[in-house]
Amino acid sequence: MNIDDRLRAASKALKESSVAQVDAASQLREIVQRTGRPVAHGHTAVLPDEPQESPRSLVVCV
Amino acid sequence: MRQDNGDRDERPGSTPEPFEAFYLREYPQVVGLLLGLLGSRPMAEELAQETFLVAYRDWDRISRLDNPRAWVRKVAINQRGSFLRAYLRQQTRDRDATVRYEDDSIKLADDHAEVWQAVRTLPPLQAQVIALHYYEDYSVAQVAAALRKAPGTIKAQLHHGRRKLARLLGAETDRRSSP
Repeated sequence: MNIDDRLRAASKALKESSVAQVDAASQLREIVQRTGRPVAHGHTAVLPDEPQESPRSLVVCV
Repeated sequence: MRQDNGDRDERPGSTPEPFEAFYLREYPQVVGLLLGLLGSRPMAEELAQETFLVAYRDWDRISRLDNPRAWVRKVAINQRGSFLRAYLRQQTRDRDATVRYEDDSIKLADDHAEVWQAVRTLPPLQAQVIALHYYEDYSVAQVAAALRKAPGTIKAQLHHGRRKLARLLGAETDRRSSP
């Protein structure tokens, strides 16, 4: 087997073994613990910096 | 299949992938890439996790990049010198080791493990070029973009790396394998 074929075979084997043997789910939980933020399952809407409307006075006019 | 490595442009209008789905699919593959280069699973997982943590903190922007997949790989092997330090530390360990494979490592057949062990004896840049070209199936242009080097440099590193590995592993070099 030439070196090109050996490198391709070793790469394929390493990728398949990593996918099969690495527990990504528990590592994902670690990210949540480290950042203290929940992981978004969908797209998170970006909130605007400025309020959408001016604050109203709490004083009620009678 | 080759992937586009242009990770700078943001994709207007498309729906970004949720971080969770991206992580579950990509994390094990990035660990594999780093494991091939570092030979230590704990070290590979630590660097991969650091990379994904950076991605998570800035996911709103990164998820809109043209290729977030290429972005995490680029960051994983360019992490402010920590990759290089880990690589050189592992090279010394591999040289001195009497036991070749760690118990907590990912299980590979001996002939495949021998190939990766040989890759880790190469100079860091050569090893990175070999790993991105073969493990990630990157073209010369994609490797050049990921490592911020000229395509000519990558071609030369690939050529020299292959020749060294062929000598180390007692394999033949193949003229067809030129990039």
